[in-house]
Amino acid sequence: MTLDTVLQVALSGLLMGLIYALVAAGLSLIFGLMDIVNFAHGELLMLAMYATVLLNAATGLDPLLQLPVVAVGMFVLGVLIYRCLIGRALGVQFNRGMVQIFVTFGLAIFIRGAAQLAFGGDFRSVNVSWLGNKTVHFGGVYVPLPQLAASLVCLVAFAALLGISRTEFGRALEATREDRDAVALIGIDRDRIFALGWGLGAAAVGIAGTMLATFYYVSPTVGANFALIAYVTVALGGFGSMTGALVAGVLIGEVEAVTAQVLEPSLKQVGMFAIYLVVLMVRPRGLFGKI
Amino acid sequence: MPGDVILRLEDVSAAYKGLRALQGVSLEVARGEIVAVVGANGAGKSTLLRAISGQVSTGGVITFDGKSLARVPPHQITRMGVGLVPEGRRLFPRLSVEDNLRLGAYARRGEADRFKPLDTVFALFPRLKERLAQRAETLSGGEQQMLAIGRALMTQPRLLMLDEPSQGIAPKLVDDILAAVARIRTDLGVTVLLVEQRLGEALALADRAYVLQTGRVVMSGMAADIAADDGVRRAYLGL
Repeated sequence: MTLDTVLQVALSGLLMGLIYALVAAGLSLIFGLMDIVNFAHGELLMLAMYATVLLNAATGLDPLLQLPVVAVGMFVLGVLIYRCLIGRALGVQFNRGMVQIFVTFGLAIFIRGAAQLAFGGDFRSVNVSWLGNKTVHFGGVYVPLPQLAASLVCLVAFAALLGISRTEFGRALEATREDRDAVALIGIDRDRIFALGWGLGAAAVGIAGTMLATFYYVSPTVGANFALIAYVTVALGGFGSMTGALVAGVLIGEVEAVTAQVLEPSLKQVGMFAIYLVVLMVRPRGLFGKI
Repeated sequence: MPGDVILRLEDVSAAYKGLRALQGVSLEVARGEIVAVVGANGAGKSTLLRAISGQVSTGGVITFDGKSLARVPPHQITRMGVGLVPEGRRLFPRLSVEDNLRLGAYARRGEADRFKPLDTVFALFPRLKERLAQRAETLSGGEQQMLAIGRALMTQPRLLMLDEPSQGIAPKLVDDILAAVARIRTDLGVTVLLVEQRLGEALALADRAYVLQTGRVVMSGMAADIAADDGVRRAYLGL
């Protein structure tokens, strides 16, 4: 392997890893806040990708310009999912754990089916884009611009999430995750905090989805693969840890890129799951887990 | 009987964890009073405070400042001016002392002087000021109790309810904390409803008291009279 190849592999791993990190951050935020795994996380990603493709076809605007619209739309969707489904699932009297698992699992199947019905099973992609298929190269290393833009946007969104966690609202989030019953004693409505947490988690995965749509084909099942990677990322980084999601996301991106290079591209996930199993055996709480 | 009633319970019943914990409890607290609720373990004292703060569903009527608390969610009851220092303190363990206190004013975002009660809290509990940057979980039991009271004061309550503030605390600090409760009434004008196992201390601090036994009020009156009555103590309090 030449130095260029090494750099090329490292760079594509990093670019993809930053997207994985933001997808995982949304999942981790919701899990950390209320101990609920959102099994519909991949489907939220898929919805954001479709929204981007359809908006792009309808308006001809670049996906970068659609970003605020999709992010706000996904935020609202996240709040609605909490208000209409999750909040109710929290209040059930019997078998609460099972209900909480199956409510997001059912939501995932529903969204996937609805997408199949509405959009059909064909692969779609963004047609109009400033950066589409453009690359720049430094020496022998090729940098695809859509991927570069996507990873930078994800990094900015990630920084915004960290910034939010340092605000007073962020401390209210932390207080709610530490003792959801006690926040009522300081006048905090935990349902409001939970709903906003779902909104933020969905907006994060929505931003990742919009940027992903600039270079990745969309289909009703596209979410499953990314969701699987997100679960591994969250477990690797430590449940509920934002830093963990970032480090683990990049790590997984790199491992995937290296595996695809050394083995075959079709085996690119072997390395990621191997690392995951090793971490689970050596350090079950993940790299940055608090529990 | 009190004149200006801030809290009134009429024929209140409640179940807690499937057990009937309160039956037909009626009780009044006047503005500016310290009222103690005493009784043996399991008499329903904690359930009484949970009922008032909206954490358990109840039958009967509970009014605060003339407004019914029926079906008002717990966080709204806090915002109406009912502060609770709960059993086990329920601090946010990984947050700093300062964040625990400041979050007490979270619901008042938009009010310019919402952090003003911090000075009051530091005057009452100077130790907290020395420990501002520490995580709440690193405090001693007594300091945690001070922080729990301070956090409740940050919500600017008109009625402060305390659930066993002396529990699990070094004897030396118990006096400090009960002295602070007295000052909260005299200096801040906050009405206090105190649930306490330590009969002597509670009755010495309170103006009036209610004796609970298996979920019913079996006696009420001036705290000094109840403290002086050995028969009451033997019959209801297991002493």
